[in-house]
Amino acid sequence: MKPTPTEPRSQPGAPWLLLAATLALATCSYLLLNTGPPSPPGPTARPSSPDTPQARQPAGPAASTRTPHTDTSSPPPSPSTAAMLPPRGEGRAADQQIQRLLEEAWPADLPPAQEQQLRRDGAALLRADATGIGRDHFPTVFGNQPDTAVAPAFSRLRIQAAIAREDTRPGRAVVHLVWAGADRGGTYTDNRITDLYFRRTKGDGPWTPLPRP
Amino acid sequence: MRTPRPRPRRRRAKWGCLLLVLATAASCAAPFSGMLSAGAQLAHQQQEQGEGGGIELGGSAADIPPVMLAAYKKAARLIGGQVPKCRGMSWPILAGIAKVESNHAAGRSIARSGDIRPRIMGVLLNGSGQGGNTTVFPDTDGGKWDGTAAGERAVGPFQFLPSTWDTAGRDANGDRERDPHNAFDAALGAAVYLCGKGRDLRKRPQLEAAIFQYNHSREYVNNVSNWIRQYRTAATGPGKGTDLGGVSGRAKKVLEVALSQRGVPYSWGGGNTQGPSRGVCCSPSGKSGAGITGFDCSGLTTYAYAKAGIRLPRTAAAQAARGQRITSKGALKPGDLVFYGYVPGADSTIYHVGIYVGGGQMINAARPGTKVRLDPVDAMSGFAGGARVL
Repeated sequence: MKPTPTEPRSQPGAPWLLLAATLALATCSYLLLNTGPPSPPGPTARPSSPDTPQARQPAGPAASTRTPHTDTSSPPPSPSTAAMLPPRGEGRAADQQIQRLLEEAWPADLPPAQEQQLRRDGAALLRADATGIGRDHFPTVFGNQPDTAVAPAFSRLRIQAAIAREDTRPGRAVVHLVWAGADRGGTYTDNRITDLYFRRTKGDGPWTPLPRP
Repeated sequence: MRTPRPRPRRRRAKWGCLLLVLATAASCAAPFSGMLSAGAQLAHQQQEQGEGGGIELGGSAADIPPVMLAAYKKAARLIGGQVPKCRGMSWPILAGIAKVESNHAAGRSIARSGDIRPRIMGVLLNGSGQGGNTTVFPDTDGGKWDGTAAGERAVGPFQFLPSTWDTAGRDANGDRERDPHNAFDAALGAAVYLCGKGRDLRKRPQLEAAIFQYNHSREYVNNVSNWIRQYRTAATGPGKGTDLGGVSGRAKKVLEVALSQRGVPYSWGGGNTQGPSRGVCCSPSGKSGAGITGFDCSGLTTYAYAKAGIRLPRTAAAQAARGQRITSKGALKPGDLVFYGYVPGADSTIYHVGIYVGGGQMINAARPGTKVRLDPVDAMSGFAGGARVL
């Protein structure tokens, strides 16, 4: 029978190919299994309070200059030793990975129960702002607005990932949310990023959301 | 990955398989736990297709129907006669509102007179929860504009409530009728509403207050503001962003190479120092680049910089470790790398990279299903700074 183009055919040297593939895979596996979690970001990596000018500035040696490689004669670089992170438009399939990225990049610093509560409150606060649903649960944020009708600004809202961390200011916390939603015109966008801030006046008191600037 | 050289057909399949196996093992290192079975991938794709209709592109004047754009520009010219104290009204502001409210009357027929058919009607605001509405709005127009006397609907491309239109509405097309379903009238009415008693919309707090008045949501304000920035970028002039007249040296070379790749398809894992190449399987949602010759975001930057004699690491996050970091959009120069991350302060979460072209635009391979193109730097959330490698 004539083999189809995709069928393997016996060739001299085929065992060497298989051996090479096996060795390469074994090497990759070793590298992968020995890749530790990412280094925690430095102090500047933590988003600070909203009224801090540096709040949105990236971490890292902002003023440092690193000499680039100029040798392009060697084989093209392979993405083998680094992750390919999900781009936009990946839908729910990327949410778990994004959640893991947030947790690894910004190590937990709140008691787990507090973080869970803040995540829930942050998600509910975002939903209240974006859709109008549940605003009565946050009188400190929405209570002072005139009793006007609320036309939902977003629909199909989905929280893709969320973490809660201590803010740089004592007694405050920030909930960092990655979310998706469709605006009133139907344009759907994922990987939207929102930081919401909470504070408490007593050490073990409840967290209260801060009005958004 | 190296672009496979032509080989005898019998061997090509084997080398292709080997490269594919190696690339898959390497490139999918992080997403292992995100890998799904083929059935699960298909289910997710179908789910997201239903959920993700109308995913945005970058804002540009070219994306706006000509009559709508004409209406925005005319309103910006006429507003001085309606609200003399108003300052800073411009077509990008009106375009930002209309983009978010109705996607510029997408899917409707827009006559040269500005009449939009079929009419754009929002959900009946009766507090039923349909469409997210939770508030009862009593009828004010007897159904003249919203087609029902049972309550209120937001109407037209700017989604005016009839009660608001009653005071803000204007005639801008000269037919002596104030019609919220006419693009020219609606745009001027929106301009009047945003200007209030005489705001200075050049000042950010006043512009944000005007947008907040339109819809009491901070995320709404953020969303509209972002579109306004994108349209302002587009308004800086035709061809802006591709004029490399003021760029020289290796930056010019990088940009010439990257811009020459416009139209090349996105390929997950595709692209290297040699140019476009077949990618790998698969992105978290199951989008494969294995059958597509093209670039992913860092593949494009790898190629463009290689042509200028600079070798970059292969992923966006790793590329952020090169050169001098740029922390603000205003400091970007043509040829700089531009990054986006899930935690803008942590480089390990950087998932996208483009090359700054100038004029607020970047050349980039955005995501599966797109082609290499120019996008406003503001088109994406999570700006994580830039890097000057040149």
